[in-house]
This record gives sequence, structure tokens and C-alpha cells, in this order.
Amino acid sequence: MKKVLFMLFAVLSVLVLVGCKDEGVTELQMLWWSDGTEGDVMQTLLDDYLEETGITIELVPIAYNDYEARLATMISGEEAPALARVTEGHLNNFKTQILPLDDVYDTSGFTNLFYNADGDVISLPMDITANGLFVNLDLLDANGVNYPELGDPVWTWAEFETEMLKLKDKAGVTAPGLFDHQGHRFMPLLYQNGVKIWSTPYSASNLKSTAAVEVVQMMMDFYEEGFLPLDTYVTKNSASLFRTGQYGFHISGNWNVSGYQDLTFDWAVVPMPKMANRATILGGKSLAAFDGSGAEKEAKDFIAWMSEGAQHDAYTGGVPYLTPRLGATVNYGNFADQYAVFLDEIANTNEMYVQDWLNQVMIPGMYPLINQFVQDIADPNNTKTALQLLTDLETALKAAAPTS
Amino acid sequence: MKKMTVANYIIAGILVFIFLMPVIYIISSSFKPINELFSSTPTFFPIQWTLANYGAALSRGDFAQYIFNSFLVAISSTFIAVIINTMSGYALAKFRFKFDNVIMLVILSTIMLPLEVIMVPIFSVLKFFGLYNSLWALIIPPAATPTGIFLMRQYLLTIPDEIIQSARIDGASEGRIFFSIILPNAKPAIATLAIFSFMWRWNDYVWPLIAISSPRKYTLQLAIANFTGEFGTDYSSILAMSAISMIPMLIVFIIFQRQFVQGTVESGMKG
Amino acid sequence: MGKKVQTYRSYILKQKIVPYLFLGPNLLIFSIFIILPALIGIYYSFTDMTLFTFSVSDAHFIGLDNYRALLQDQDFIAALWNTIKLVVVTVPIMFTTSLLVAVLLVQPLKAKGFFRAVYYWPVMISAVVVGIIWQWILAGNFGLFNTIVKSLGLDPIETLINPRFAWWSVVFAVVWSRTGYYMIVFVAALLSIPESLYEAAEMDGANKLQKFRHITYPSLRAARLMVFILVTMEIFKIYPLVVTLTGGGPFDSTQFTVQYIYEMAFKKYQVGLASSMSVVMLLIVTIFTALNFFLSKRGENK
Repeated sequence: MKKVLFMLFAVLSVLVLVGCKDEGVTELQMLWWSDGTEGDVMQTLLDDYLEETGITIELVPIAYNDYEARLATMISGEEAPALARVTEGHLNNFKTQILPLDDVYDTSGFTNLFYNADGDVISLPMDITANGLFVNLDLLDANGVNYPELGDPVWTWAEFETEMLKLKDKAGVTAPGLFDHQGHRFMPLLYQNGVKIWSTPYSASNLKSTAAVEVVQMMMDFYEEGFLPLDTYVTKNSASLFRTGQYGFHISGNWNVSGYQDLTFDWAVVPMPKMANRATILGGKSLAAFDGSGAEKEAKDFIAWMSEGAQHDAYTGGVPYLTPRLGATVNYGNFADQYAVFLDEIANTNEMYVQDWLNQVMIPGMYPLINQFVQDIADPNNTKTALQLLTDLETALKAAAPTS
Repeated sequence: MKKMTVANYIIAGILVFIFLMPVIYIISSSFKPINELFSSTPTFFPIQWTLANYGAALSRGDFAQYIFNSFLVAISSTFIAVIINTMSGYALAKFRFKFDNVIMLVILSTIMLPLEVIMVPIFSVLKFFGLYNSLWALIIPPAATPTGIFLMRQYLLTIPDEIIQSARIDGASEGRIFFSIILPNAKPAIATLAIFSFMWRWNDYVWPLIAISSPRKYTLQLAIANFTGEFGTDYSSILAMSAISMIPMLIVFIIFQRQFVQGTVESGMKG
Repeated sequence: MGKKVQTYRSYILKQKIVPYLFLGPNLLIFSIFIILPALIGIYYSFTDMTLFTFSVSDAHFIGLDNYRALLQDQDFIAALWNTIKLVVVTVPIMFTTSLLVAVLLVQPLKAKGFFRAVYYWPVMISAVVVGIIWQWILAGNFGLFNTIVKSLGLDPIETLINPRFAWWSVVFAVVWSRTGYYMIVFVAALLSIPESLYEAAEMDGANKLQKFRHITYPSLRAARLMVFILVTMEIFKIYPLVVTLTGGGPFDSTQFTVQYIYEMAFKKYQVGLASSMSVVMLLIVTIFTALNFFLSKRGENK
């Protein structure tokens, strides 16, 4: 009896140890999330890499909601992945744990680079993103909603609201449209009303200006009137709601272009509304290699390989995405029309707003602050005025801002 | 007298409905095709039975891995739990020693320090001992349960001292006594402890949440909770996964129902 | 194995050491994984530790700053208060339902085993899946809940999008999934009440209600106390069920203490602050539990 028990225990121990085996350096991990087809495209490239070099890079998908927390605990728990897809926010938060890449690839061939405190490049930019407006053409056409196309005069938010209100309470419509719950999707509206967040980073801001209050009030009214649904804050996944075909528009970003390929209804990207001017927020995802993963050299080798034109363009063209690689031309194929609109949005964004957002991103913990801010705007039980919310946000941002 | 009994049966029946219907509904929903899942006129049972959701769930790469991890953790931890908690229960039941009341109190007080209160320092401790992202973190620490200790102690109190004494007089070592006398005579309590331990580890969520970062090491509950976050309104795979996760407990429950009831009574009525 | 000649001394020595050896593994695990973290947590609560403070020496001692900060943290106070409300509401409900179902189960009924099994089954379902089950039933205009509502001729009710509904659905889901457990505790206690007491009451002409009030209820003292304390502790640390049922609810309306602390540490990286919040939570749970204990004891001496 004893013998049986001990043997069973031994077998179990072996199984557990096997399950916890450390990867040797012919196997790396790359943390990843996908909004659309990014994961599939990257996987093809990883398969190519395996053929060429015999090194396996395992794509480890994590839901975006948990992504940063997962990365943080892995790094803190000394289980850092060799590579990870990262946003500027991640790069900023983890910059002391990311390897410098100046000697790994030719950084002069790329825009949207991210630097650490010593001025070293710590990212390989993979794509550029911009916010934009998706519409459900079937719903719009069925309800006589007018919308501008690329090249037409761009509508104001007031005109946008008037048109989209034609959808309210119609059959098959849950709400006129959706606005992603992330603060990042709301901030361009400030720029669209001529509000630069920081007049002097990080001591003087324009968040309490009348123009800013006007924008926040507009947003609060949208939720109160049922123009935008509260479901967004329950599911925290507007894309999955837009897919149901029950919403006329979705304010999101170009990462959904490839994601929406399989939608069963007719859709398009149209110019975002403006108030004082047009504006969008640029962002971008990169690859970063982490210190302490045990596979630093192999990670850098991969980044060098990935930075080469053939591979990099295969990625941006495959998804497709706007490319940060200078001199590359991406063939958007079936998505040419949609991307034309995004490129137009970017072209019409004043450089000062781009710079302002770069300053904003450098504030640690900025995203949870603006997320809470936008959630409070939508919250039906919120009792604060638009000005109060903006004042609180300003205070919080100043407190969190880097002091150097 | 008769009227009372009929009323009782009616109430009992309503309760059966309340407790059973939601479970049956989720299982039946797991067999519905996607168009039925999102239909505006849902029915209780599927109009068209399909295994598509199960196919999707099982083919989702690592699903088999999650089930394996959960089994591994549950069985290993139960094994360890039975041994160490019986040992402790025995010590508290059959020995008088200097700090026995103090230790009893210490063990009792650890109930006041559930994992949820010490999540962050647990993370630090796991890190320090190299247990972060290891399934061992789900197997060893949770195996020491005060409830288990008291369960075993209650039962072992009923083993007559004479048997133990005479074994000692015959020169048997303490270890021998434990394995040859205590363990075999504690079978009913051990069965109860084993079943509860298996259930607790199978259903654990917070331990894996804190300790595990690699998706390949997820246990089933952690995986299901993660997918809920990611897919929001995409229920098809989640329903199938949830249904599958209930199966082992269902089997264990049907076979060992009496032990569960017994165990609840004994752990609830300690001291 | 030959007989060992034991001296009396070695026998006594063994008696002293052996129990510690048997308790060893458990005590070791408790020390390392419960007591040590508790002490570390208390230490963290006085520092500005973050998830990225890679060596403990990087964390600075900041005294009571965290405790001052948490008193200012509206969201923490809200989460704590929300949890207290949940406890105050759910404990009596859980107590009542499990007691009543237990009373039902000790009546003369056929197929008692079946009923008991069915009522106990939800206890076996993991909290994660319980949350999923009820989200699936309650969510949206086309969930089972609203389908039934509509079939009764009413308009669909706003369910999980409505903060109040979401909050009460948490209460409901918890009571649904845990009543079976406490029911069994009561059943055992009920069965241990001597028949003779009831027979004597019968002869005095007592009706059902009087029997319950004067015999049954008082005899359940130990069970009642146990149930109150266990349910209190359990509701205070509620977490996985809420995660899958509402995710913290529409606009944090179902955000409770454990979720808040978890996110403070692992999503906002504020380890020191989260630790101080854990300490506060622990103090409050202890106070509530002690209150329960003493109130119940006092009730005895009436």
C-alpha cells in the first residue's frame, strides 16, 4: 500500500516537473494580443523564422484587458517573456526592463521610435494606428442617414448627431452607435475642438477651458440621451457589440479594419466629425525585448530579422496596417478605401496635437486615469459637472506626471 | 396532517426547479447552434442540437491542457492534503504536549487570513521561493487547510487510545503506528477530506490568478474566467467549457454524496 | 523488526517531539504561506512599494501615508461600503433560506435524499461558473429572464446594465450557490434535537410555530453562530463570482473590496497602498466576526 502511494507520488512529481520545464534557448515566448488578424500574420512569420533558424518562438496570446497586468506580474515575478507586443504605454511603464536596440537594427529607417531615459531606442515599431469612424452602411442606408465620403466636406459633431439620431429607436437598432470605452478613444475629441492638453507639460493644462468643457458636456449628453448605449461599459468590448449589426457607428481605430473583414453587413470607414478642426490620435504598437528572460540574445536576433524590409512589410501588408518603416509602401489591397480615410485623418491632424499626445503618453499610469474619467462621463449616477471631472483629471495627471 | 405534507412537496418541488433549472439551462444552451444562442426568441431546449460549441472549445488549442492541469493540481494537492492534515489531526487528537492549545489557536486564526487578504505578499513569497508560475504553488500551499485538520481531528478522537497504546508497548515506531493503525482506521474521514480537497482545488480561482502567468499552465477555472473577459458576448465556447468543467464534480458528487454531506456537518460543527 | 528496548526517558522524549513532527508540514506551510505573507503585508503597508520595486530595499518607509491615502480614496471607501452593505443584506437572507430549507428537509418527505442532493449541488459548482450561469440567464433583452418576463406580457427589464439589478443579482447568485452548504449544517443540528422535547410540547398543546420558536430555534444556537460567522467571512471576501457575473458591474456598482485591492496591486501597481487596504479589510472582517460572536452569545443570556 505504502509502495503504491509513493510510486504514485513519484509519477505525479515527474509529471509536474515536466510540465514546469524551463524552455531551453531554442524556444522563446512572445506575448501577444490581436485585435484582428495580427496574430495570424505574425504566426506565419514565426513559422518562417523556425524554418530559417530552427528557433521556435511561441506566440502567447493574452486578452488585452489583462495584457499589461500580465506583463507586469511576469516581469515582477522574474518570468519575463523574451519578446512582447507593446503599446507606448507599456514601453513607458516597463522601460527599465526593456533591452536597448540601437545596435540591433537600423533605427534610422523607422518612425514612431520609443526611447528610454538614457536616450536608447527600446522598440521595433511594428505598426501605426489612428482613431477613426466605422459605420454600418446597411443601417445608415436603410434609414436615410447622410454621411460624407472621403473628399467631401467633413461634418461637424452637431451634424453627425443630427444624422445619426435618425437611427434612434428604429427596428433592429439598439442604439445609434458605439464609442469605445477606453479614454484613448475620447481624447481626440478634445483636439478636435482645438484643445491641446498641455500648454506647458506638466504644469499648465488647457483641460479647464470652455472648449474642453463643451466637449465633455457633449459626451455626457450623448450618454444621457441614449445616443450612446451604456452596454459599452458592461461588456467593455464595443467591437463585439458592433458585430451584432445593431449599431450605426463605432468610433474606434484602424486595428478593426482587418478585424471587421468577416462582418455580415456592409460597412465602411468615413471621416470623423470635427468641431473646430479635424484631429486623430496616432499610436503604434511595437515589439520589445525584455531583460531577464534568459533569451536576450535570441530575442535581439529575432528583432533584427523582423526589421528587415521583406519581413516587416509582410507584417504591415498582411494585416494590413499603416507602416512605420520609412520608404515602405503598403499595398492595402481590399482595404485601400478604408486606409485612405485613415491616412486622410492623419494628414489633417496638426503636428502640435501629435506632439501633445507624445507628452501625454509619458505620464505613468495615465491610461487608468483617462479610462476612469471617461467612465465617469458615461456613468448615469455621476453627479459631478463636466468642469469638475476635467478639474479632477487635471489634478490627477499633474500628480502622476514625471517630475524631471 | 395530509395537507401539510402536500404543501411540503410543492415547496420542495419549486426548490428543485430553482436549484436545478439554471444548471440544466446552461447545459442545454451549450448544445445550441450560434443562431439560436443569439435569437430574439430563445427556447429552453435547443431546437437543433449541435456539438459545434464543444468542438470549438476542445479545439481551442490548450483546452485539453487546462483540463490536464486542473486534474494534476487537484489530485496531487489532495494526496498531500490527506497526508499532512491527517498527521496534524492525529497530533492534535491523540497527544498532549506543551503548546497544543496555542497551536490549535494559531491554526484557527489562519482561517481569518484567507488568500484574498494576503494576495500581494503571497505573490512576493512565491517569487522568493521560485514558485511563481509553477503548478506547485497551486498544489502545496493550499493543501494545508485548517478545515481539513479539524475534520481529521474530530474523527481521530474516536479511535480508541488502547489500540495505539498497545502498539507502542509492542515497540512499534510512531511512524508505523500512523501508517498501519491511524490511516486505515480513518478511511471515512480521509475519503471526506479527499473529496472536499479535490473539489476545492478543482474550483480554485484566486490561487491560479495570483500564481500562474503562462497560459499553458492555466487551470480550467482560470481559463474560463479569462475567456469570459476576452469574448464578452461570445458565449458559445464559454458555455461548453463551463459545462465540461462541471462534469468531474458531478461524477464525484453522485458517487460520494454521503461523504459530502457528512463532511459539511463535521466541518461546520467543529468545536 | 525486533523489539526495541525503550527507556522511560526516551519514551517521554518521543511523546514530546513526535506531535511536533506530525504537525510539522502543516505548520511549515502555514508559516511560509500564511503567517509570513501576513507579516510582509503589514510591512508593505508602511512603504511605497510598487510591483516594480525589484528589491525590497528600493521601497521607502513612508509611515502612515498609505493609511492616510486610503481614507481619501473615494473609490476604496465606496468598495468597502459596498461590501459591508452586501454582508448586511446577504447574511440574513442566506441564514433564513438555509434554515427554512433545512426545516423542510427534516419533515417526513419521500425522496429526501434526492431533494437534498439537488439543493446541495450548486455548492459544487465553481464560483466562476456560477457567475457565468447567472450572467447567461439574466443578461440582455433576449436572455431567459427577460424571455419569461416578456411572456408574462411585461416589457423587458434592464438587467445587468442596471446597477441596482446587477447588485441584487450578486446577492441572488451567492444565496443560490451557497444555501445548500449551510442547509446541511442546519439539518445536522436539527436532527440532533431530541424528539422528547417535541413530544413534551405536543402534550402541552403547542402548535408548529410555538414548537419552532421555543424548542427548535434555541437549540440551534451553535449552528446559528457558525453560520453567521462563516457567511460573514465568506461574503466579505467575495470575488470570482462577481468577476464572471458582472465584472465589477456597470460603473463599479458591483465592485467589492477584494476586486479593488487586487486591481490596486496588479493593475495600478500600488503594492504598498493595496497592502494597507488589505490590513483595513482584515480589521473590519475581524470586527464584524467578533460582533456576530458577541451578539449571538448575548442573545443566549436573555
